[in-house]
Amino acid sequence: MAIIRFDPFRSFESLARRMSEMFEDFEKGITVTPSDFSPRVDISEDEKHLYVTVEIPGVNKDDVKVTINDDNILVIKGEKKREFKTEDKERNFIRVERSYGSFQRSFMLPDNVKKDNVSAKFENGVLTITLEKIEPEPPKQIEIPIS
Amino acid sequence: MKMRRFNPMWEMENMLRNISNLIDSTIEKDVDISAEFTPIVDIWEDDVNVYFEFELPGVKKEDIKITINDDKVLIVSGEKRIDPNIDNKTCCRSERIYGHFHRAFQLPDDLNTNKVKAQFENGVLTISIAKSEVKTPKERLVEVK
Repeated sequence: MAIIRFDPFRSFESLARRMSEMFEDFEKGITVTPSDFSPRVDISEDEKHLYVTVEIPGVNKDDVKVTINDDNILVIKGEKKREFKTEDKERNFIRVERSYGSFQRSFMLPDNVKKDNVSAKFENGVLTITLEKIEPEPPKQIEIPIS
Repeated sequence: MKMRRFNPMWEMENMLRNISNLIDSTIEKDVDISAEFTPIVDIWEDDVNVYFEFELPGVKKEDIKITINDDKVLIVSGEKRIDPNIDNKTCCRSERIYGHFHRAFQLPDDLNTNKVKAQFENGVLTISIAKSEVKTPKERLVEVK
């Protein structure tokens, strides 16, 4: 390590650097795209897997898209369609509490998940995404002989 | 009629009261405080039926209970169970709500509570209740003696 002259503003600079890095991350992909609602999400993990569950009741399976990009960002998006007719009969709405339209959630994944081994299941209005973790390699030690 | 002091806002207040009465005709009957959450609902009607559409994602069909009592109160209640394997997992983010749910609605009198259908698909519970056929008011002539 090189010896650096003491600079009282150094920690501020590093803070500024970290902030700008954070914004760069945002620009990479975690941009907030306008969507009509954001579904509720639970994330949990065990030793081998990472589980993401998303509540999207009433959404058709074909209207959901799950992607992982090169920056390790998991994006769940889709469209919840509202029907205005039942068998040709006009629906006369009395109360509307449910949200409809486009939805999106994105999450930065940790580095230890396999991007090519992802499974998704849609059941009872809940989308469950299961990601497999990479088994941690034992830390390597290189012995250096002392001559 | 009782005399009342003139209140320029009376018409306004009266209107607000009328609107809230109108909403109350199909509004929630009672609120169960023990419930962890109240599922959200859309209600609509056509010429034949009134439909209730509840969002119950992650709830099992057998954990839902629908009742209509003699006072024509529709009650949808049940339990949203948490993942049974949760003890073996570490939670990183928890936005979903689990536990007991309850919602009740006073139905209007013109519904036939014997003709009720319920269907649970894709996390959405749809209940349809048939409207009673409109009776044409009978007229009876009263003779004047």
